[in-house]
Amino acid sequence: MSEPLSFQDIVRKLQDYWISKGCVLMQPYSSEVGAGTFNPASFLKVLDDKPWRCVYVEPAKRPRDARYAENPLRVYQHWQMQVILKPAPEDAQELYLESLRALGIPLERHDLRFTEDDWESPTLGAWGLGWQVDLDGIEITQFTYFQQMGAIDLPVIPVEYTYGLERIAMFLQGVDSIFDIVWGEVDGKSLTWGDVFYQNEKDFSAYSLKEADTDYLRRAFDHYEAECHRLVSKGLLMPAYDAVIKCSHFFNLLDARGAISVTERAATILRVRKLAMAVAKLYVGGPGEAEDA
Amino acid sequence: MPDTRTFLLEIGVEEIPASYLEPAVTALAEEIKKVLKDAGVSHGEIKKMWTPRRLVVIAKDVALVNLKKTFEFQGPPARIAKDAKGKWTVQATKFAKSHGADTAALYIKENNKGSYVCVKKEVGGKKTTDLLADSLPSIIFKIPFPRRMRWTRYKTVNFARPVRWLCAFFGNDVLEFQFPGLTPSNKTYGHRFAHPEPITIDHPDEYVQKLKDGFVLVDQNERKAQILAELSKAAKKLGGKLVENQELIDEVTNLVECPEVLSCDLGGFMDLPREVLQTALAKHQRAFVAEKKGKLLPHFLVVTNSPKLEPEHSRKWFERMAVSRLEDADFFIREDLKKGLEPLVEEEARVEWVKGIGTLSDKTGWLTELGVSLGSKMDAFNKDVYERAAHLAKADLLTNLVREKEFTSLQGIAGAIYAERSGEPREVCNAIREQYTDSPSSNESAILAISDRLLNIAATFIVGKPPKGSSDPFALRRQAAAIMKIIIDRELPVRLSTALDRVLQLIGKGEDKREAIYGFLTDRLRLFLTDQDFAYDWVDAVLAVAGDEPYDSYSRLSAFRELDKGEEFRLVAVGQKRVANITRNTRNTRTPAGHFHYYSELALRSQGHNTHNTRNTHNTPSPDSSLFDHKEESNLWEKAERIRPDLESAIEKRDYKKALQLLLSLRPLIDKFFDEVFVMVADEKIRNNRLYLLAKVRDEFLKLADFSRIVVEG
Repeated sequence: MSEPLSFQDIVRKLQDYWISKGCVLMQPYSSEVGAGTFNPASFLKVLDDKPWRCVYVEPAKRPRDARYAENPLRVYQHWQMQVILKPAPEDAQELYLESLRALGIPLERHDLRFTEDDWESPTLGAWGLGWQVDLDGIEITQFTYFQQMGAIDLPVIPVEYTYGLERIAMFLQGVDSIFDIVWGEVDGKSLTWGDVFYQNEKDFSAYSLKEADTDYLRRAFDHYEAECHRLVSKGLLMPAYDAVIKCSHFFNLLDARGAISVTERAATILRVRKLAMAVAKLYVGGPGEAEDA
Repeated sequence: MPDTRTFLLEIGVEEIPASYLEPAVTALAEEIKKVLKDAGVSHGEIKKMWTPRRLVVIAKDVALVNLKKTFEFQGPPARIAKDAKGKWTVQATKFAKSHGADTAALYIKENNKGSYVCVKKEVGGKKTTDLLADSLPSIIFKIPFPRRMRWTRYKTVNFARPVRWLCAFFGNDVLEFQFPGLTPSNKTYGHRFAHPEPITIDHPDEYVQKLKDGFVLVDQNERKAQILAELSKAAKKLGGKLVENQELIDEVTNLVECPEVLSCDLGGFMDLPREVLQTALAKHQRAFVAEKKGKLLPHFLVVTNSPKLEPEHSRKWFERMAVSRLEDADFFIREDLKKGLEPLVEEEARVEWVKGIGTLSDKTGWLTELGVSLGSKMDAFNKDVYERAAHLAKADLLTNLVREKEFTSLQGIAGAIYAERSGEPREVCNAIREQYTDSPSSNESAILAISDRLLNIAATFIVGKPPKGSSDPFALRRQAAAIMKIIIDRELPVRLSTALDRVLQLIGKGEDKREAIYGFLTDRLRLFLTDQDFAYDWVDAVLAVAGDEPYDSYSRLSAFRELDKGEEFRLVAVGQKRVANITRNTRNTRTPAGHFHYYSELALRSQGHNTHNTRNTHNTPSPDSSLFDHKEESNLWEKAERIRPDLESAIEKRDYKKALQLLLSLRPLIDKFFDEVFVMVADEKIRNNRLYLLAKVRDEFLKLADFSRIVVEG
C-alpha cells in the first residue's frame, strides 16, 4: 500500500466525495453535542419535506466515555463525519460503499457487513432503522433511515451516515490507539491525534468525571429548560434549540458524574425530549405546546 | 395431471435483521399457499429460502389454471322474489345482476328455513399468473416484521428494510405484478462484493445454482451445514473441538451469504471467567470458541461473509476489536469486584422494580420470604443457603458488567462469579447462578428460580399487562412453563394456590387478580403436561381432581402412562362415563340430594381451594346391602369396600401405580353390574340404592382422576 491517508486526508476525501454527490459542506455547530445529529443541519433540516443534502464534521463530546487518555479506543471527544441525504436515494447503500472505495479500501478483500442496529435518541425523540457497518469487525459507520425526529413522523425519509473517523483512520493507518492516528504534518513531521488532543482528554476527563459542579449543572439544566419553553412561546426557534442542546449536554455531564439515579435518569431524558419536541413543532408549524407521544 | 410450472419469487432487500428472516419467509410461503389453495390451484412442494438480502419462495408444479367449481348463491326469500303473476321482482333482478347472471338463470329452492331464490355460478379456469399477479403485492406488504420502516417517496409502503429488486417467474416467463417503484424482472444479484453484477435467470430451476456461481448460498440449510462443518474443521485444526452454540449458528447463518471461517488468536484474557469471555466474543464479534479437555483454547472463530478475504489483514482487526471488548469486560469486572455485591444490595432500594409494585429491594425481601415459606415444606432445603442467595440474587443487576448491554445475559452468572470471589459458600453461588435457568441443580436454586418467576408473573398481572394473544412482552408464558418444569423435574411439593396466596400477601395487592393469575398458571400446567406427550384428555382427567400441585399431577399421569395397555383404559373410561352420566342424571332429577356435593367440590378443587386427600365424601350415602338383589351389586360393593383402605393408603403415599391397579380391578365388576343390573327401576328405594352404590364407586375413582373425561373413540 502507498502512504496511508492521514486523518485530515480522510476528512478531505470524504467531504470531496459527498460534495461531488451534491452535498453542501456545513460546519460543526458552536455548542457541545453528543452526536452530529444534534447539529441543526440534521435535526431541523430533516423535519420538512424539502430536499436537503449536506456533509460536515462534528466533534462528539461524551462525558461518560472520558477515560483520562488511558483507553486506546474510548475518548471524551471523537470526530464524526455526518452526511444527510433527503430524500434517501434508492442506491443509498451503494453510494455509501463508494465513499469507502474513495478512501482506497478494497471492499471485496475485507469483511464488510450491514449489521442490524436500530438507532434511537430518546432525548431527541428520534428513531430510525438501519445498521452499524462493520469492517473486519470494527464498527465504522452508523447508517440510519430516520423515521421520526422530535417525535414527528418525517414527511420525507432521509438517510443519515455517521462515520466514526477515528475508527476509519485506525483501520487505514494500522494503528492500535486513537492517540497514534496521524492527523497531518507540521514542519515535515507527523502530528498525531494524541499531539493535538491529549491535554483535552486529560482535562475534560477530570472535569466530566470529578470536577464538574453538579449543583450548578442541575440549576443550569432547570434554567435552560425554562428558557427553552419561554423562547418557544416567543417563536424564537434557534435560541430555543440551543437551550435543548445545552440541557442535553448538562444531562450528559450529570450522568457521567453519577449524580442521576436510575429513575431520575428516565425522567430527565423525558424532560429534554419534551424540549426537543416543542422546538421541532415550532419548526414545522409555529408555536404550540408540545404533548408527549 | 394438469399442466404445471415452477413459481419463483425473490424479494431483494437491504440487509434484513437475522431474527426477522425465518418468520417472514414462513409467513410469505403460507400466504402464497393459501392463495393457491383458496383458488383451487394445485401445486407441489413449496420451498422457503433466505439470506440477509433476499426472501425467496419457490413453488413446484403449480397448475397453469385453477379448477372449475360451481357455487350456489342464495338470494331473497321466494315471496319477495316473485310477484303475484309469478314474474321475477326488482329484488330478484338485482340479486341476479350482483352475481353477473341473467334472471333466466334464477330458480327457487327450498331449504329447512323456507323457499329462496338461488343462482349457480361457475368459478375457476382462471390463469394462475393472473391470480398471483393480483395477490402478490398485498401478500408482500402483509409479511409480519417486529419493526417496519418507511423509505422515500411511497408513504404507504413499509417493510423491514427497503425492497430493492424483485425477481419473479412462472415457468420460463417473468411474472409481472404491480409494486410501487419496482418492476419484477428476470434479474437477481450475487454477492455484494464478490459478484456485484446482475445475474440473469432464464428459468426458476437454475436460480439456486446461478446464485451459487455468484457466491451466494441461498438455501439457509445448506449454509448452516457448511458453517458448522467449517467451524468444526477449524476447531480441530486448533487442536480442540468446537463449543457448539446453536443460537449463534442460527444467527450467523442469517448474517452471511457466503460463509468463510477465519481463525483468530485471543492473546491473553484466559483468566477472565469463561462465560464472560464467551459472551463478549459471541455478542460483539459473533465468534465461536473451541475447547480442549473442558478448557477454552486461546482462539476464536469468526464466520465472515467474504470469499475473497485477505485473512492476514482482517484477522488483525478482528483480534484488536476482541481485545478491546475483553479489556472493557475486564475493567468492569475489576470495578465491580472493588465494590462487592453487598453495597449494591443497599442500592436496590433506590431502583424501581415494577412501577406501582415496588423497588428492587422490595423484590429481594419478597424473594427471601416467599422462598423460605415454599422451602419449609421440603425435607432437603437449607434455609441459610437460600436466604443468603436470595439476599444477593438481584444485586448483580446493578453491576457495571450486567448494566452493559452486551452482558445483560450474564445476569445471575455475574452475581455468582462475584459472590464466589468474595468467598460466599459454593451452594449460595450456585443458587445465584441458576436462578434464571430452568434446570437448577439444587433445591435452593430451584426455589429461587420459581419464586423469582412467580413474583414477576404476579406483578405483571397486577399492573395490567398480562400476555394477550400472540403478545407476551415479558415472556410470562415461558416463565410459567419454567416454573412447571422445575417443580416437576425436582419433584417439589409446591402448591400453586398456596404459593400464589403468599405472593399476593407479600406484594400486598392484587387480590382481584388472583383468579386470573391462578387460571394462567393452571393453563400453563395443562400445556406443559400435554407438551410432555400426555394425551390432553388424560391431562384433563387428572387436572379435574388434582391440578394444584404440578408434581402430583405429573406423577398420576406417569402412572397412567406406565400401566396403559390401551383397551383396559378404554373400558374403564366407558364404564366411568356411564357411571358419571347416570349419577349426573340422578342429580338433575334431584333425587339423592347428596350428589350436588361432588360437583361443587370438583369446582372448588380446580380452583385450588381444596387440599389434597381431604375430600368430603360423607355426603354420599352408602348403599344398603340388604336391598341388593343381584350378586353383581354385592360383588361390586364388597370389592369397593375391600380395596378402599389400600386405595387410600396408596393415594396417601402417592403410589399412583398401585392406586390405579386397585381401581382397574373394579372395572370388570362395574361392567358386569351394567350388564346385569337395571338401575332406573320404578321402585325409588331400589333405584336410589343402586345410584348410591355407583356414586360411591365413582368416589373411589375420583380419588385418582375423573376417568369419564377420557375420550373414547368408536
